[in-house]
Amino acid sequence: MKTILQLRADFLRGTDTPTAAYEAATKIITEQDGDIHAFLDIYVDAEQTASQATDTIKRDGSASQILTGIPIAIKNNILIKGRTATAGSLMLEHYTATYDATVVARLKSAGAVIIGSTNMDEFAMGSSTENSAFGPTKNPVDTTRVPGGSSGGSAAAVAMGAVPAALGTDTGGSIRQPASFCGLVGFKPTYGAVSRYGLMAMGSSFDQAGPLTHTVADAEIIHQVIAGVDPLDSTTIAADTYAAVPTKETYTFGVPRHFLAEGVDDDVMAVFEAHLASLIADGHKVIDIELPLFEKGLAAYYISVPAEVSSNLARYDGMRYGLSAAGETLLEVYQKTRGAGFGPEVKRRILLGTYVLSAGYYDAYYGKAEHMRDLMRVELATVFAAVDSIVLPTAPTPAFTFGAHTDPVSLYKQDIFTVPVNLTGVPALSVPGGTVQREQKALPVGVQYIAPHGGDARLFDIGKKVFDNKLI
Amino acid sequence: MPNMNKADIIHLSTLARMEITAAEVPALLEDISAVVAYISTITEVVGDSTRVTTHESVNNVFRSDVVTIPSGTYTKDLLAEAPMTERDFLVVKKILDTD
Repeated sequence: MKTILQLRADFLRGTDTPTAAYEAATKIITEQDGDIHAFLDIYVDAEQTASQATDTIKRDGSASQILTGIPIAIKNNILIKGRTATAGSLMLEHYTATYDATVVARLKSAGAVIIGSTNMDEFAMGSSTENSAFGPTKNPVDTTRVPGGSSGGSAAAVAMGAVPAALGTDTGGSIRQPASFCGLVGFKPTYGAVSRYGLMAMGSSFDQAGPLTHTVADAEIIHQVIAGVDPLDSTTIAADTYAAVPTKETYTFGVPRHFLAEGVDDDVMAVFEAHLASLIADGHKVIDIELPLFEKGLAAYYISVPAEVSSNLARYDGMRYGLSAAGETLLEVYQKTRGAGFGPEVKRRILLGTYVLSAGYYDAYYGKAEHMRDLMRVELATVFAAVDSIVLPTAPTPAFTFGAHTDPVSLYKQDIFTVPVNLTGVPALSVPGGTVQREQKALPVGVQYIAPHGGDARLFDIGKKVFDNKLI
Repeated sequence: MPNMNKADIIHLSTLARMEITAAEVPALLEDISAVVAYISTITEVVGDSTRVTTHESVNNVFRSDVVTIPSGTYTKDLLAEAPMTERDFLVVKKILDTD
């Protein structure tokens, strides 16, 4: 599968066209998606957009927009006007988006050909895409395993070669963990770098949209197209909101060794150690750091996120859009609609959020969790005074098999290395680090780089140095 | 930490305006109890100290108080998604009993 940059070069050279790229994408989908189930919807009329893009390239050449004719897939919790936006839920099975999310509008203006929407854990709650109301997605690397989640459909769409890039959303690792499981690059921007207008809110103070791609350079292209201040999202930030985070020739990386002492598979750790050794060989410095609060961070995540979930998902009440169940009274319509429309994980988090926000418990849970987030930001600032970036495995294991995690706490612990990033709002990039063997299959595992707030460009620079430049 | 029981789960579902079946209760009770036990570990770290919001990243965002979209622009599209409408209104069950 070609990358965005390769497609762009071939388009300009005339050795490939957007129409041919679109046809190649649909061929792969026809051949593989019956089994993989990365897509919830394929837009057949995208062929016309591709055909117009072919004309645009012929006419404008290198003056055309950067993504002209590039096929892209979009996670189904991001609104595309006139298309079904289900968020993987029965609640929105027949809901048609009435406007474009800002990220979609920006991709369209940059010339992208949006070819379909991708499967996901219901309302982005999950780490395996097993929670989709429309059935799970398989990992193209090993179809007995999950692709990760919640952006599992987007990861599988890129990994199977249908598209060079897909958009996901990341509330606690939902871009980076599927990237790790499927051998891709995944990027979670600084909170506020990318508009959330038109993203279905899960945890409003956590959510960010970002790319899943084959290379860091491609992730950077997509990010640059979708990022920037948006008057429709007052939490978007200007380029100068945070102190400048410069790029460097060589970097000092911090490794929180105590955090990795247990819970990480031995061979995942070996891949990580080899990656660290290559950093040193390339002239970078690697030092040990302490991040004691990061270990306890997961608890704060499973307070603040359910709290925001229970508030955000109150809007699905059967009145204005989506599923509406019959009932005798208004209260009954609410209860029956929500009872029928939400799946088990969503119900669990709504009830948990309702609990932590209940009178008498607010201070004990939500107040403490928000306090913890402040303390974690302070802890991070101290660490970033000494290092340029923090390096961690993206996930403690490679892709697991379907049904491997039945109790919620064990599944939640899958996210231990990714959630501190969302709790504090810093950017993080997952790049493929190597593979581990499971049942005669080589499964990819990712390495995650974390930078200070506003350090998105530094992460792309690091990613290109440690990953892109080493590709043959 | 209070131990939760089935009645607590049913009470939470009422607060959340979300019907759950009797068959769903045991699994929800088990899962939510486990998660509550887990998240309670936060007290060990944060203790009784109170939150001080000092991070510089929080600031007010204002916009001009002007109409940017003419009234009615999206009415038709939005109402097309509604389960029940009458003219330009959503139809809902009455909430006040006037009998």
